[in-house]
Amino acid sequence: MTAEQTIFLIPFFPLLGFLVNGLLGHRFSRRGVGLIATVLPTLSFLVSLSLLIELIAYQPHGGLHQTLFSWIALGDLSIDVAFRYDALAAVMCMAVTGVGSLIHLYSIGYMGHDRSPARYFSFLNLFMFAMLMLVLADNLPLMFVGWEGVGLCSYLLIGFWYEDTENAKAGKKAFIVNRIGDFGFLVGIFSIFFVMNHLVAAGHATPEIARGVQGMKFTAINALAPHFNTVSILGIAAGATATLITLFLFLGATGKSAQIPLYVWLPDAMAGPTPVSALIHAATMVTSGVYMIGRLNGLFLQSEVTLAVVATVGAVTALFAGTIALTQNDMKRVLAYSTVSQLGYMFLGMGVAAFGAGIFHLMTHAFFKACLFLGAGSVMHALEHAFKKTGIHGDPLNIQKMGGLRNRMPVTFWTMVLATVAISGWPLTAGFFSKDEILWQALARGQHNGWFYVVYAIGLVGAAVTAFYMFRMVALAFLGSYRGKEGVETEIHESPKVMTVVLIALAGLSVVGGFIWLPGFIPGAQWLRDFMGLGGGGHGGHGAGHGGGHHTAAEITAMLVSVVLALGASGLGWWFFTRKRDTARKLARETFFTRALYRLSYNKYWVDEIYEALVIKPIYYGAVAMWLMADMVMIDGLGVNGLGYLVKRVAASLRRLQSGLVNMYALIVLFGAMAVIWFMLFSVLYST
Amino acid sequence: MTDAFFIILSIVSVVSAILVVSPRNPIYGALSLLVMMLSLAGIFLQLTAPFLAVMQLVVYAGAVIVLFIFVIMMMNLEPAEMGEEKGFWYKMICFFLAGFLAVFMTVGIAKSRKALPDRFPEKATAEKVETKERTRLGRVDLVDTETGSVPETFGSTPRVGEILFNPYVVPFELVSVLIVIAVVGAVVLTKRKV
Amino acid sequence: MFNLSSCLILSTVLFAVGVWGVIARRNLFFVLMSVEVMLNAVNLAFLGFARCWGGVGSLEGHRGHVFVLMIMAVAAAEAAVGLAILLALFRTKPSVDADEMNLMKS
Repeated sequence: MTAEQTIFLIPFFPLLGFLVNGLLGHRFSRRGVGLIATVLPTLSFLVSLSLLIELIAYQPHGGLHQTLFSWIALGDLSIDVAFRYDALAAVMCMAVTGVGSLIHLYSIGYMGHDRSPARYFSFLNLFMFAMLMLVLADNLPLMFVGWEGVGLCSYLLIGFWYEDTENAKAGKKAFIVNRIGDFGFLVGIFSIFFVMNHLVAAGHATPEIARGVQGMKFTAINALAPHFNTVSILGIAAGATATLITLFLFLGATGKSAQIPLYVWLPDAMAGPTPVSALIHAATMVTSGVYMIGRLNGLFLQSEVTLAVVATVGAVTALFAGTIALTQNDMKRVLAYSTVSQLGYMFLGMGVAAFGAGIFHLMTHAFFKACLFLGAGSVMHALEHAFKKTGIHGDPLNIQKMGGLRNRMPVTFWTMVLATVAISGWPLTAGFFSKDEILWQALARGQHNGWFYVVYAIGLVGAAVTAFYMFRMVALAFLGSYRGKEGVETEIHESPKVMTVVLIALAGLSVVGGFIWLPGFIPGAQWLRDFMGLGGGGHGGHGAGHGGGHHTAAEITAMLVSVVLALGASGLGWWFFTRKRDTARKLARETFFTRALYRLSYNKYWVDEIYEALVIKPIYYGAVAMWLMADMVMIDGLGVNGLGYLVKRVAASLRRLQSGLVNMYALIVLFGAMAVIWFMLFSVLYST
Repeated sequence: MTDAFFIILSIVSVVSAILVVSPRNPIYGALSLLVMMLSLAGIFLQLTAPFLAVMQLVVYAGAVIVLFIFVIMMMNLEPAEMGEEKGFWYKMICFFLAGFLAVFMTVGIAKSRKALPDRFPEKATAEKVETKERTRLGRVDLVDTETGSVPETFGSTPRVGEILFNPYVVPFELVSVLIVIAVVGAVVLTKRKV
Repeated sequence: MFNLSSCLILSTVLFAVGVWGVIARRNLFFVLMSVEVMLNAVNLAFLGFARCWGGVGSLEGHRGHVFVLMIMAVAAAEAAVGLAILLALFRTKPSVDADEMNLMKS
């Protein structure tokens, strides 16, 4: 079996896990179910790894391909279920399967007492399958299948404990908001198809590319991208075509990857089990939008406007979400907003055409965010256990009521500290290298277009805010003395090995994972960038390197600035919330100006409420009006009931013919006879 | 002469028909019916249908009317038992309906005047006979197409019988079966105890 | 004056009188008698046509006469059965009023 023929195994193993656990899971023991569900993604990881080695060794042009079967063959369309394992896909697959397998392992411990482990693990495996389909797809429609699949699994897993209505509502919200984005994505897909067919008809395509157009393959899209601006859609000026299409695609990305305006589902999604939050809403699903832009970078490069929009939205979201995270007391909410914020950085990277940097940050974020979420899960697990043991009730996630956990849960503490350090951008951590690369690219692009200086500034402030709130969280949760209810503290223990092992692994990756792409001024150390060939900035689509020594001084300066900012903000956060906790409280509650800011942040800028009032309520009332008007009145009243009533009335009046009177019957016969005679007499007469 | 007879007979028939449908007492109606049938028998005779004229008298006037009178007398209805009549307006509407029927059919007849001959074909006398065919009854007298006349024996019993028993023997037999059925039916229907 | 048209008109008038009797009288005797009137009117029409166009052969002649004979026979049968029914009805419900026989009313 050649290497290429094994590509399908990567998504196949989790699919197998889904089927086995889903259909037969109730027969296995709790351990068995977890084991099956964890081993299979691990196998995918191994296959992925072997293919990666293949890629590095032989460097085949365009990566490894495998076509399974023809899916849609209809007129101009000839879409296959086909996979492409190139460098970008390899990076994503490794991250997804690697982190995914670790989280599966963690879940065995975390969901140890849950009622329905089979359902959980089967959905989790289904998610892996869908995500891997998304990543490995070599054409747009198949990617969309994976896109929808992960959305579905997100819904299923957020609402996993569906007996609580709030969880079900959160799942629903996620799915519906996603759907809004998907509308944009679909419009983009259709437009691309339309434009590409035009271009093929106009003769811009070689036969090979023309075949790719039929299959809507990414190679074809990126190859024809430069010509997109020559075709006009619906009479709109041709020059805006690429911009329009990419903006719609970006709408889809904002939905899936929780950017402004469609991020509102992510904080609510914390209602699901914590490993789900770690896997789906931190490491993998929410990165789909970033990946999509990476795949279609050829197209996005054709539109300066869209790139600027992407970068701006990313930066603003990063800062915006960060400010909300400042005041949240629910540990998972802090991390949720943090995820939104970090995704903003990824989009910032994509927006300044530093596609490789964006993907790099995606990878490092997967490490430290997963670690953070799983650490939060560990804390939750321990506190819930303690509550149950002592019979005292409390909120296992309220950081205001935690404290002093450092001594009771040392492994969790130290791994979370490492991850926090990484996310804050402390030097030499993975987070530092990736975030810094993005910010540097933004700054460099500022020369090209002054607007990007603003974007850079917003990103920089956001980085400071990130460090501050992350250290706030760690300080409140682990340091100081326990501030919760009496008697609970003694029952808090470290989590089982199966969970802590994963935490250690992820924390380790957060620290060392950055060394595959060192800053540009260290020549030859950008292995990841060169491997992916997506370049860092400039107009190189594929394979453009980034040299130039005269940028070095600026880059080092920028790096120093961000280091100082990161360390300073971290220290401030730590200090404020260990020594000066009262001052913090005073600022939040009493001082007028800061209290206003606090309330704004704590209530998430009332965005959910604004959406509710401006969007949801009008639609709801519109639907009610339609229901009353169209459905009740027109269809039920006039149509269905009206017809019935009409028939009744007509029948009642016709019934009077059945009088039972002989004379009446004879009269009717007479009428009939007269009609016939009339007809015969006069039609015959007139015809003669 | 024939015209005068026809007019008298037709007036008698119409008047007696009206007297059939209008009185209160059914006996008067039955007797008027008798008169109408007699007048119609006269018209049948004028139409050179002697056999049928006699049949009219024997069957209709002689049997059917008698049956009617029997039944009416048997029931012996008191004037009170005879029941109400329909409303005046209803009878008016029916009058106009029937009138409309008569009028429009008359209009139809009038419009097709050209298609209808204005005189009946003549009865041929013996000299104008032209024999063309022999049957068991002897010579058959044909219509002389040049003069458009009918033979003297038109409508006579032998002629009607000839066609009744040769081509139309099946309907004839069936009608007799029908009459048997009617007899049996009438007997069964009027039994007091089935 | 005495021609086919006038025969037909007479037949029409008699028929109309009969029709009126059927639809406008409640007493069932009169209904039956009016039916007889109608049948006689029709006989007259048939004989008129037979006199004009009836033919005389032994296979196709005198057809109108035969038909009239059939009508007479059937009318007699119908009168008998009709009166029998009337009698039976009278015994059940001592009335000959058509409007009282409305069990078929819906």
